[in-house]
Amino acid sequence: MARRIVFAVLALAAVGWPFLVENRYLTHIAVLVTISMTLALSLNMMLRIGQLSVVHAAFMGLGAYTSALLSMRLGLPFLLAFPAAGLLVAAIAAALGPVFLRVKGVYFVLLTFALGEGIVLIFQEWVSLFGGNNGIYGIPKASLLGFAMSTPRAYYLFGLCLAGIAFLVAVRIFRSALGAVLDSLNENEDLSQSLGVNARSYRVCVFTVSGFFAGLGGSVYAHYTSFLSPEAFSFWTLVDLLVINVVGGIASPIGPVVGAILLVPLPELLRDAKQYQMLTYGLLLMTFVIFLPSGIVGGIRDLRRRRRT
Amino acid sequence: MNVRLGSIVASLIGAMLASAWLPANAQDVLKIGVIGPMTGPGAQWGLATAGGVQIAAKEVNDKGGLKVGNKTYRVEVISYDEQYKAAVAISALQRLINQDGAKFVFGPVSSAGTLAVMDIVKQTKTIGITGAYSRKALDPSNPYMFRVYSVATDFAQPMVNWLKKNVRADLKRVAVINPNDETGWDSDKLLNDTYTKNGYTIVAKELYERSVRDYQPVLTKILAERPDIVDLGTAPPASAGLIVRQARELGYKGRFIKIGGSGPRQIIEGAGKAAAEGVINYLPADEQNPGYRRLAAEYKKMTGNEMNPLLVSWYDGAYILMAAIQSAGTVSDTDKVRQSFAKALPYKSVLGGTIRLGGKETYGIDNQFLTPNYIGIIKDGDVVTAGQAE
Amino acid sequence: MLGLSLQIVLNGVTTGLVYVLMALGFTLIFGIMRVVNFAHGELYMAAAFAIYVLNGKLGWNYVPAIVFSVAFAGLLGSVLERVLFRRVIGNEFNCMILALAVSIALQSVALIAFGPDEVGAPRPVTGVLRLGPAVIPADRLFVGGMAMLLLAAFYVFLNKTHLGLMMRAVAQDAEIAALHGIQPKLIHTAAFGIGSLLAGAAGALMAPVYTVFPYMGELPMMKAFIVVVLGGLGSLPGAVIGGLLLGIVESAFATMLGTTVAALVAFGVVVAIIAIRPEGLMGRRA
Repeated sequence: MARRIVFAVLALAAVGWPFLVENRYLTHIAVLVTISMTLALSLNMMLRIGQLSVVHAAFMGLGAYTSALLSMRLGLPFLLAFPAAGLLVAAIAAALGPVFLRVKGVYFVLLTFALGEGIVLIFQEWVSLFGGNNGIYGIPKASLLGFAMSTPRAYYLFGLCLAGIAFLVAVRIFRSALGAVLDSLNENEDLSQSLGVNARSYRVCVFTVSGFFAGLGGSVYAHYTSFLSPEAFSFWTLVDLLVINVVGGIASPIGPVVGAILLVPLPELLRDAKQYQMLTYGLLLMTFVIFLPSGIVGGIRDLRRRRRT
Repeated sequence: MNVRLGSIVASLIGAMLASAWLPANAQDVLKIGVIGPMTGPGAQWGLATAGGVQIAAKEVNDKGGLKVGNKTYRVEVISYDEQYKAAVAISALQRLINQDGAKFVFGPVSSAGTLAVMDIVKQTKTIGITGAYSRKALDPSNPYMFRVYSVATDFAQPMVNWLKKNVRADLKRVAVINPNDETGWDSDKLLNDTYTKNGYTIVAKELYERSVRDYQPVLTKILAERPDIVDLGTAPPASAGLIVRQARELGYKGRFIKIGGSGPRQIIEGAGKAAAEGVINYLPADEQNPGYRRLAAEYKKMTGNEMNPLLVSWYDGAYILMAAIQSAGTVSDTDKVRQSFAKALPYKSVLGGTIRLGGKETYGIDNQFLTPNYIGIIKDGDVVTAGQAE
Repeated sequence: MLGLSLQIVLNGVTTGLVYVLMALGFTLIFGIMRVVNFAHGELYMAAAFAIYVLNGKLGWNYVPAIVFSVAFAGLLGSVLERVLFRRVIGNEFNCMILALAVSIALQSVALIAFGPDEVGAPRPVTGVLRLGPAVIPADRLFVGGMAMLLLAAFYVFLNKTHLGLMMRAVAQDAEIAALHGIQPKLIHTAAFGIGSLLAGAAGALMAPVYTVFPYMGELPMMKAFIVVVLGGLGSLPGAVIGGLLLGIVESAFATMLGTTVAALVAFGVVVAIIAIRPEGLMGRRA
C-alpha cells in the first residue's frame, strides 16, 4: 500500500511540476530526459535478454527521419507519423530479427554494430532523402487532434507518457509468461529448448518491441528539436544510453529510469568542463562495471537483500 | 576608428558621471552570449569566437562599461560549447535566452548548428551573429541573423583578382577538387563560375568522398589534364594537406590555391614543409599587422594559447554590435538594434581595414559583414601575408 | 586495364597487411581471453602519438622512436589487462562494457593532451615507385614490408618459443593447459601485451602516412572487426587471409564504385557472414 502511495505522489509530481515551475530551460532538459528514458528502456529490454545491441541509436534515427519525412513530404499529421515511425522500425527489427538473433554474445554486437553504422552512413550519403550531414530542418511541430504542441511543457508531458508506457511494457514483458521463458533461456538455454521453447521467436519478439519504442522516441525527438542530423544517432549516442543502463542498473526497468534522470542533465551542469565529459563517462563506466556491475538500482536491491538476511 | 573612439569616450564620460551620481556597484549588465565548439573538432574556431568577444568586452568594461542612452552597462559574456553538434547548439541557445536572458548571441559557429537555431532566433527576436559558412545561414525572411565575416561566396572574386595580378598570366588551366557533400557542391559551382568568368579554363572538377584519405584515384584523374593551378576548395585543411602531399608525390609541380576555409598551418602539418611550399591561402587577417600582434599577445596572456586569426573578426564583430546597440539607444529592443547595424558599419577593423555591411545581391538581405580579405602564401613552413584581395 | 588492376591489387595488399596486424592482435586477445577489446584502436592511436612525440617533437631518430612507440603500446596493453580487465574476466558482457569505457577514456586523454587537430609525424620514406602503369607510394610499400617482417616474427614467436607454445595451449583449452601447470594469468597479460603491441606497430607504422589525431583508431578497429569476422574470431591464419582479402576487395570497390559503396558492401558482408557462418572462414564455433 505504501508503495502505491509513493508511486502516486511521484507520478503527480512528475506531471505537475512544470506547471508550478515555469522555466523553459529546465523543462527543455526534462524533455530530453524523457526521450532518453524511452530509448534507454528500449535498450534495457535487449540487455535483459543478454544481448548487447548497439543499433538502437540508429533505430531512433530511423524513427526520427521517418516521422519527419512523412510529415514534411507527405503532409501526414503527427498522430499518424508518430506511430508509423515506431511501426517502421519494428518492422525492420522483425524482419532482421530472425537472422540477427541466431547469434549471441559478441557476434550479435558485431552484427548490430555493422547495421547501425550502415544506417548512419545511409543518412549521411543519401542526401536527397535525408539531407546528408547538414540534415533536415524545419520539421513541423507535433499536434494532437488540433492541439498544437509548441511548448517544451507539452513535449515533456507527451514524452513522459511515452516513457511511462515503455516502462510498463518493459515491466510486463518480463513479469509475464514471456518473461519467465526469457529468464529460463538466460539461465539454461539448452534445457529450455529441450522443453520445446522456441528461443529465437521470443528474442525476436523482444527485439521488435524494443525497436518499436526506439522509433517512437526518435519521432518525438524529431518534432521537438525540429532538426535532425546523422550525428545525433551515432555510436556515441548509444554509448550514452549504455552508460545510463549500466549506472542505473540493467536487471530492472527502474534502472534506466534512474540512470536517465541522473545522467541526462549532467552535461548541462558540466557545461564548462566539456573536454572532460567524455573522460568522466569513461571513468564512470569503468568504475561501475568493476565495482558496482548491477548499477545503482541493483546495488540498492542487493543492499536491502543483505539487510533482510 | 571614429566610432569606436567615440563610444569609448562616451562610455568614459558616462562612467564618470555614473560614478559621481550613482552608487558604485549599481551597474546594469548587458549579457552577450557565445555559442561555439569549445571541444572536439572545430574547437579552435569556438575558442576564437569566445576569445574575441571576451577581449572586446573586457576592454569596454575596463574603460567603465558600455554607455547606452544615459545608462552604463557592464558587458557580461556567457559562452557555451556546441560540441559541433546541432542539438547541443539548440540547447545552448535555449539556455542563453531563457535562463541567462541574453538577447545577443555570437555563434553558433557550425553550419548545422546555425541552421538548426534559425527559427528560434527569428521567433524570439534574438540577434544572432553567426560564423557559419553555409549560404542558407542568411535569408531575407530572417532579419535577425547576421554573419560576422566574409565567406567563399564573398571572397572568391577578390582572390581570383589577386591571382590575375600576381601569378603568371599564362597559367590558365585550373583544376578544382572538393569533398562530395553540400559545402563541396556549393564550392564546386562557385569556383567553376568564378574562374570561367575571369578567363580561366576549368580542366578538371572532382568531388572526393569525405572519408577518403588516399586521394590517388582522384588526383590521377586531375593530373592527367595537366592543370597549372589546383584549387583545394572546401577540403578540410588537414585533408587539403594530404592532397597536396600526395599530388606532389605523383609528380605535380604546379601551384595550389585554396579558395575556401582557411587553415594554412594544418596544410603544412598534413603536407610537410617541402610539399606545402607556395600554397596560396585565404587569410581572414594579416598576422604581421601590429593590431593583430596586440590581440594575439592579449589572447596569449588570457589563455596561454596561440590565437586563431578568426578571432579578429569576432573581436571586431563584438565592437560592431556594441556600436549598433549604442546607436539604437536600447539593449532590449532588438528590432532597433538590427536596423542600426547599417549605421554602425562601415567600421574600421583593429587591423586597419574596413568592414562593410552587404550581401543583398548574394543572399537577398544586407546582413553580411564584409570583412577585408588577405592572401597568405606558405613559405618555408610558415605563412606570409602577401597582400589584400579586393 | 592491367595497370588499373595492378594498382588495385598493390593498394589492396599494402592496406591489407596493416589490417592483418590489427586483426591479429584483436583475435589473439579474443582467442586467449574471450575478451572483445573495443579499445584496440586506441592502442593503435597511442603508438601513433608516441612516435609523433618522440620522432617529431623530441627529435629522436626513427628507429629508436618506432621501437619505443611499439613497446609503449604493448606495455599499455599489459597494464590495462593487469589493472582492469583481470577484474571482469569471465563475464563477457561486462568485459565488453569495460573495453568500451577504456576506449572512451583513452580517446579523451589524447584529446586533452594533444587537442583534436590532426598533426603530421615526420616521414622516414618519401616518393613513389612506378611499376609500369601502376604508381605506389614508397611509404605504403615500406609499411607493407615492415608488416610482413613483423608477421614473420610473430609466426616464429608463436611456433618456436616457449611462451608462444603456452599461448597456443591456452587458446586451445585453458583448463587442460592449467593442468599442465601453465599459469593463465601470466598468459593473459602476455596475450594482451602482444596483441596491443601488434596494434601499436600498425599505428606507429601508419602515423607518417596520413595524419595523427585522437580518433584515428576508430577506423582501423572497425576494419579489424570486419577482418576477424571474415576470418573467424580466434583464428590467426583466418586473420591473415581475412585481412588481405578485405584489403583487396575494398580497394577494388573503392576505386571502381567509391568508398561509400565499399563501406556498405563491407557491412553487408559482415552481416551475411555472421548470419550464415558465424565462425567465419577459418574459425571454430564460439
